[in-house]
Amino acid sequence: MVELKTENRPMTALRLDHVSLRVGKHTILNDVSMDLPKGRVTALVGPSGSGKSSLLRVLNRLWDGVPRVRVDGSVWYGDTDLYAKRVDVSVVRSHIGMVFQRPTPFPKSIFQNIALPLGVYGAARSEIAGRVESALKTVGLWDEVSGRLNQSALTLSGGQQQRLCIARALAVEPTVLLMDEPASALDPKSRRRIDELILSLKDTVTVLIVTHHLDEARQVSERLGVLVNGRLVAFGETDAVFASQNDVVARYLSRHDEG
Amino acid sequence: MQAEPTLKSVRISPGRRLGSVLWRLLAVLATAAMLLVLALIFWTVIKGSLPAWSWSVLTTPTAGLTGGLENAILGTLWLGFLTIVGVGVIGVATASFAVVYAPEWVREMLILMSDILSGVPSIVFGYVGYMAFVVVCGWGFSALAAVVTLTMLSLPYVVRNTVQAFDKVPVEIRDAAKALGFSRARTLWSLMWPYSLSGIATGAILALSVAMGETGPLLYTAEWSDNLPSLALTHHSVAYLTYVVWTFIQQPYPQANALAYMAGLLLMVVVGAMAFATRFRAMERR
Repeated sequence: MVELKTENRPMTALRLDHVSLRVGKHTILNDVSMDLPKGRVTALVGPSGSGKSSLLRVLNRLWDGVPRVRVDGSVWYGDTDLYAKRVDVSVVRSHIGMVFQRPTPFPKSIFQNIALPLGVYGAARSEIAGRVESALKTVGLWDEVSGRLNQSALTLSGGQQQRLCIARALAVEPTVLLMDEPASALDPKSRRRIDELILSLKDTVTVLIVTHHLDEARQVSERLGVLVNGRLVAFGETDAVFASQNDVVARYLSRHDEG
Repeated sequence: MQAEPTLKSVRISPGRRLGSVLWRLLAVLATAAMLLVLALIFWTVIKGSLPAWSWSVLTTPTAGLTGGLENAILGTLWLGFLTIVGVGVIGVATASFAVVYAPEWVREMLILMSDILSGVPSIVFGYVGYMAFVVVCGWGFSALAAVVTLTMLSLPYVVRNTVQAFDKVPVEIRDAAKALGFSRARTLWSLMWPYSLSGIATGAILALSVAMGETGPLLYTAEWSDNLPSLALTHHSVAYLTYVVWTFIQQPYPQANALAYMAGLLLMVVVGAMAFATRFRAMERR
């Protein structure tokens, strides 16, 4: 097992270094480089099909084992290149969690949904109940479900399911959390709760969130990247990127605001 | 100005109406024909087995061409039990490998081979089983030779159903498990299997009913015995219901014929009950 160290780059949680992604002959991501500042929220926006979700999947090696997929370049997590040989994928994924667009609760009890991954990482039996509780409290779900932890997670509403999935990802205490349009399948109220939750994670977890909603990006993120056709056309302070005069960026951002 | 649409123009034309009536009639007739065949089978079998009916049929073994069916009933259940264990383990393992571990082309290859296996006539399995297990392995006519043969024969049903059940597990769920760092074994164990239990059970029971209804392969591998089945897996012939159906029906004695019908009825009841159980489970799940 390779220990992943972060001490040497205190300010950067993840560094993408000339990352490209090809599926067969198609180039999905073209030479993307960016730093995710530690403990901050970085948002990634761009038109549909620009490769935003694909980029997230590069960062926790979710492309592993998918045929005809090739990742070039490096993803640095501290001193470790995640794509180096002899890096244990499952350790990578315990440090870099992920939340998907649609809620993905396992067809098990609410409790088991969080306890299962904890068990995978060898949490002691005695501490599991406590960690489940604290994870549920972090996402503000505890008061709603504490009385029915043994019911199926599928009985929860969409918004609750998504918060359960965030709790599940946070329970294994990752340093980075990848969020793939986590609120887009939800109603406005649940969406707001998710946004508040993301803001509350600041300083404890580094978040990279893909979103279609520029409002959301503006609200939750401190850094913003704009991805167009697999290229990172802008990356920097969120306000600065929104103020950008760059043709491609301005065109994307303004068209979106109007629409 | 456009003309108001009249009711006449939206009415179903006589031609379409006729077509619809004809198709409906055809469907009803086909259903009736199927029910008729089923009724005919039940009628024949029940009527034929009536002379043999008494509770002692269930509690006395055959003696030559007379007696009861206890040895055959227990033999069929014993072989069925062993087969479902064998086919369950091997079938689910094969499907798990195909879906979770194997690259795409290996998966397709495995499914193709499984389909080919299901196309092999059962008497061929019988002969292969005889040569391989009875003779070469030296197990003699035995439960083991029979069960291994039945397992090969019914494997495709479990593999097919299990692969289908696995494919129904949403990709997002599998991705989520992956993203949580679950190993493939853990994903199988904690998600795929529990998720697909109903599909696997359906396949296993289908396989079991196919295996229990086989005659040819068993003639070659289990032979026949008037004794109750023993726990010995090798060198002991085993009795089974289909043998009675197959042999006793050809005898010139009404008593033997009635026993053959009775064996057929018992098989139908057992297999029917299992089919019903799977249906019921599937409906309950919904």
